[in-house]
Amino acid sequence: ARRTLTRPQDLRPARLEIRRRYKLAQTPYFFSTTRHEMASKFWGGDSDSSVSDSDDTGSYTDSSSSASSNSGSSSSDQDLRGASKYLQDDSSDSSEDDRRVIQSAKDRKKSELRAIVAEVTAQAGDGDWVSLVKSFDRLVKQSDKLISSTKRFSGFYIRALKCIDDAVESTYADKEIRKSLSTTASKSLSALRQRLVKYLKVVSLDLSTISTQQEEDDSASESEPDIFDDDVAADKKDNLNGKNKDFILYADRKDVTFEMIDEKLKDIIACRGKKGTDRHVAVRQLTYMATLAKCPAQEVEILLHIISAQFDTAGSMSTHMSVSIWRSCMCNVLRLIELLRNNTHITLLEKEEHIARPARDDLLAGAPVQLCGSLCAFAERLDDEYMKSLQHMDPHTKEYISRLRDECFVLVFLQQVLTYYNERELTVPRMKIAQKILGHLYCKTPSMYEAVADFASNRLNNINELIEVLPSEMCESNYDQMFCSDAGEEHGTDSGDDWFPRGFSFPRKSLQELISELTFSIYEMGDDRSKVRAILYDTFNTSLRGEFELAREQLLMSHLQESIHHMDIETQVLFNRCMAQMGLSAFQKGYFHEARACLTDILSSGRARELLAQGVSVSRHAAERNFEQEKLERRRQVPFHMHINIELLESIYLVSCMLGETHSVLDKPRHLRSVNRTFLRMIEGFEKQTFNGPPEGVRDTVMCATKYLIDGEWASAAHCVKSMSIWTLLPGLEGSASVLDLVVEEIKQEALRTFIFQRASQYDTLCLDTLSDMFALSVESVQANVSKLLTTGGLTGSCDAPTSTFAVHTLEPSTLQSAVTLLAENVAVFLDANERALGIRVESDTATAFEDEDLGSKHRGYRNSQYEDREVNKLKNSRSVQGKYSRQKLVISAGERDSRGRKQDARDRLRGELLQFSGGKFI
Amino acid sequence: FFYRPRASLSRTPTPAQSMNFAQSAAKENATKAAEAVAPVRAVELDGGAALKIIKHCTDAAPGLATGALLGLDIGGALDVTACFPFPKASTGGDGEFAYDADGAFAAEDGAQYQLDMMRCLREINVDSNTVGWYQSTYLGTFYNEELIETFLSYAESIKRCVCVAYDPTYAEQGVCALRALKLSEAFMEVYGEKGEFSIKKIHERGLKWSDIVVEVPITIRNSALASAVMGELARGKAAELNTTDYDRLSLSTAPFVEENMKLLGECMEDFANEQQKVAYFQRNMQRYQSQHAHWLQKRRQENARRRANGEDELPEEDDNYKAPTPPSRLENFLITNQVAEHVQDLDAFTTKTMAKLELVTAISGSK
Repeated sequence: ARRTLTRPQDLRPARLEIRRRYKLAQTPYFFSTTRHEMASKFWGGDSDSSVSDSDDTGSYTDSSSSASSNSGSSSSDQDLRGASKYLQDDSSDSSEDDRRVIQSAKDRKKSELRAIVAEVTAQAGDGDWVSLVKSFDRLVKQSDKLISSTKRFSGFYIRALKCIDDAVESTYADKEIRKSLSTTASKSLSALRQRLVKYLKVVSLDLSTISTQQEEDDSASESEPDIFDDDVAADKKDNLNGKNKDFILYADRKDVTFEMIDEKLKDIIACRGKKGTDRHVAVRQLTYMATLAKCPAQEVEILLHIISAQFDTAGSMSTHMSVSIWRSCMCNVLRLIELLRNNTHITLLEKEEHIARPARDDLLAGAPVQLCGSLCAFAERLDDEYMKSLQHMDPHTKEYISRLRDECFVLVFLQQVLTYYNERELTVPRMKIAQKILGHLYCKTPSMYEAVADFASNRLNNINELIEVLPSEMCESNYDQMFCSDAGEEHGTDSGDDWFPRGFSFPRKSLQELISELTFSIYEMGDDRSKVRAILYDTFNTSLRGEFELAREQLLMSHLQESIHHMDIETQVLFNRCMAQMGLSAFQKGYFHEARACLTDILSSGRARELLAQGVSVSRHAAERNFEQEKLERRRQVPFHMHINIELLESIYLVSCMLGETHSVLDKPRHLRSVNRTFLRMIEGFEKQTFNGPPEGVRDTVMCATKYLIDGEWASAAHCVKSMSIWTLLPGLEGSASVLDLVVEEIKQEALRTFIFQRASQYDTLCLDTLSDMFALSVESVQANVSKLLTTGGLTGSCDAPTSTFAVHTLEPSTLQSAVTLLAENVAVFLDANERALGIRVESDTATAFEDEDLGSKHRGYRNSQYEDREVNKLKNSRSVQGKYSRQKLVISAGERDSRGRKQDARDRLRGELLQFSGGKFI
Repeated sequence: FFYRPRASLSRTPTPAQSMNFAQSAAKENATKAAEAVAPVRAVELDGGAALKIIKHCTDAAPGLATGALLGLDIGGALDVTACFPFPKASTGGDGEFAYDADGAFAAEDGAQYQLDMMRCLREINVDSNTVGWYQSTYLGTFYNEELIETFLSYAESIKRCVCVAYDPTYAEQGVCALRALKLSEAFMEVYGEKGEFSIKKIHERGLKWSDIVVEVPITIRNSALASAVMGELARGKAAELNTTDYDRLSLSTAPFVEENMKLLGECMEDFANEQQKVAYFQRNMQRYQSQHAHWLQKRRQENARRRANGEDELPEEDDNYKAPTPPSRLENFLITNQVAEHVQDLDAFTTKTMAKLELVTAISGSK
């Protein structure tokens, strides 16, 4: 089928030669004939190529099979050799023997190689270059595998190479033939030729020398056993001595000895991390071996290895362990804990050199053993893997929910580990585990925790009631049986809740007790980082419970806000989350100002997602961030169920801003010092829009409300805010209703303030009663607001108690005054810029730059003081401007000289002058 | 002839315009131009011409007016004997002439008008030698690049030329607000040929900002007959006070100071703009220098390698990288001048006001 009838006759001599080689290999007596003779003999009277084609293939396959049988290692041969019957390939074996017949890896490789060799030689003979290229690659690959174990080439392999080489070279040399080949075939031919040459160079094999020896080899091949046969013999011996390492897996349980397990264990450990080892297989083998363990110490040892091997299956940091492995891993760790508890003579050491393992008999007798391993590290890793799996799963699937159910087991498990360490009073791991537990607990409300606890105890009870069936089964099962059933489980019932071992119960403490207990233990013994985290966990939970005041005090006492920038990013994220949660709870309590203060840093930057680690934001500088950083960022993400709704945060923030800052935005003279530029910009942006449709989204709605507020329509503003659907997400719906009442009340007051700021200058006096009517506020609250505005300096006026009015003293600056203030501002800006320019020149000298900075701030202070002084006499004004001007001149002239090169001189002089002015004239 | 746009329009005269004038002026002054040039030390202004200027400028206010100065060039002193106004520009922002919508034609017409005017004046035996121009100004805001450009284009044909500036707002305060201005020689040398005004050149010359435009003392000279008439008119009335004298005692100071303040503020803004330019240049320069240093280092390494290999070395100049051009300092200097102008005005004005205030306080105290 591989051959076409269009194949030209010219090909024939080449094929002929190949065929001759094979004839030679098989029948030495042909050797004396010359090529031409032989060709004539072989082809005989055969002149019709199309007919001969089929014959060719037939004869050829015959010869190749006989050739391989001649070289002495056919499968039928093997069957006859005693031990080799174990080495038969499992799949091809159809024997009825109850013991499994195993073929060693080497043998299997070798027979595979033989198969390929046969194929290759056939193709070379046929001149089927296209498929030959592929089979050649396979051949090389297969032989590489074999060589890695035998360290030398088998004779038949070299012969095959030679055969290919000859075929290729002869075809290649004959131009006529080459021309007649189809394009694909000729391409393959030249590719093959190149690869062959390259490969031969790499393995430094010289075929020409071999070809001369060939005759001898051929003749000797039958009498002299191949290297392959030696190997088989060695294997056989090994196996007889019971040293075959895989043997243990299939041996009868009773046959297994302590040493065998030990041996196999070492073998598996040696393979760990090597290329080509299947990690899952290692895990399975180890798991099986754990059931065979002869004493607790050995089981512990095996368990340690199982756990590490299971962690290995995850592969990289960016992927998570598969859920089933994770579960079995957790069971293993729990079993480990149980063993360690029951056998106090076994200790786990983390770092120090452990003492040598006692001899077998001592071990079996229960002598003290020290093993290397860290329960704490296992627990942490398991927890990390759990978090990672949550990060990676799609939060809107059932899978995620079923995974979430495991959290209660994680808590139970961590609790177990903690108890273990508590018993041994090891502080460092205790801190670590306590932190991990807190990490699960801190974002749960008491009611959520109750639900988790109920759920967990139910399930644990269910598990405990299950009849003990498995262990007995386990004892009897063989390696394969064990995992046949296992495999079924893996695929079938993934969501099975009953994977957790029996005999555990959920801790009976309330959330608050648990958290305070854990945090206090960390406060007592932890290092700085864990203390900080503990505080943050605690604060987060406190504010989640709605105790904002307490949370605030806690955070303020910790002085964290000053040092948090020096912490690691995870902790900073936690801090941000804590602040966000505090903002939420402050809002719920009606502390709008506090809510704004809490949320400003997070929301005003527009990177809330990033700051809360709730999604990677697409930044404008995406190109600047490299792949590594992005990966790191992904790893930091908080699992979905712990997210704080950013939209809710934003609406809270914006509403708080609106309630506190609308009037200050309108306060034009103090505009520049207005705190919240983001909000201001938003309002400006909103006002710039040509058409304002009905509000969509949080920001739009709040802006719309703000606009109403500015216009004095507090009722519409209140309606706007109340109609926001996001409030349903505010924890505690009945609570949110009361919060909205508070919001409305605050809206009224803000409307009043805004009104006064905007319109007060139009009135001589304002009646408090009228105001209270206008804004549906009590007279007292109007009075309070007005008084506050009067005292804080935003408004000039005076209260008149008897008539319950207040008089407004409007003082608009004259045009001259405003011109002067404008000039003063311009000069200040100019001066700043000048200092900066000077700063660039003298930046080498940081000390002076700093002093200049100092001076600058003095001037700014001066500017501000002047800024507020609205009663500036115009004469005084013009004078100060003059003075300022002359200072300007000095700056300029000094600057000129500066650029002339006499930097130091200029700087000194400038500083002197500035000092003189700022010290003498202005301040 | 030569149209001077309003200062606030910031329109620079096109070369064609200046050439028109230059050619015509060159013809007119062929003989004079050959004489040795000495700087102008004083300007003598004929009374009649002065009145004409004042009238023209005052009439045009609040718009600005320009006109030509005619007269004689006698050694160090310029004798301005006559003047004529240029046709008034339309109030349109683009500075067209009122009688022509097309700017180019208008300019030509302006030049033609000027030539015609000169011819006519010569026919009635008036000095038809251009010695400069006059312009009205508003609160001393005449320091701009146009002034410099105009001076330079005049200087191409007449070595000694002045600009007489008249400020109607000052005149209201009872001051004679005529001032004669010219460019300093130092500045001409620095700026003259190429119009380049780099820091390096400025330092070489030791040029200061106050050295750009210098004021020439101006004297008003009347003919004997005119003096006689004046004397006749004033006889016996010298001691009497007139309304102008009372006006001087007005305490209303706000408008003047206000305007000056606003202008000062604008100047500072301009300054800030200039400063930004410099800062931008500095940034560019720094970037360029670092890039260039990097490139140079690479090139040196390459050259070292080539030297080792015995190949030809590559040049160490690079055509691809060009140092950024520093911004012109002229504007800076001009703004500084402008600021100085405003501040001087303010100073003078407030001093007077202070005196008045003292006076008033004294009077009210004595009562």
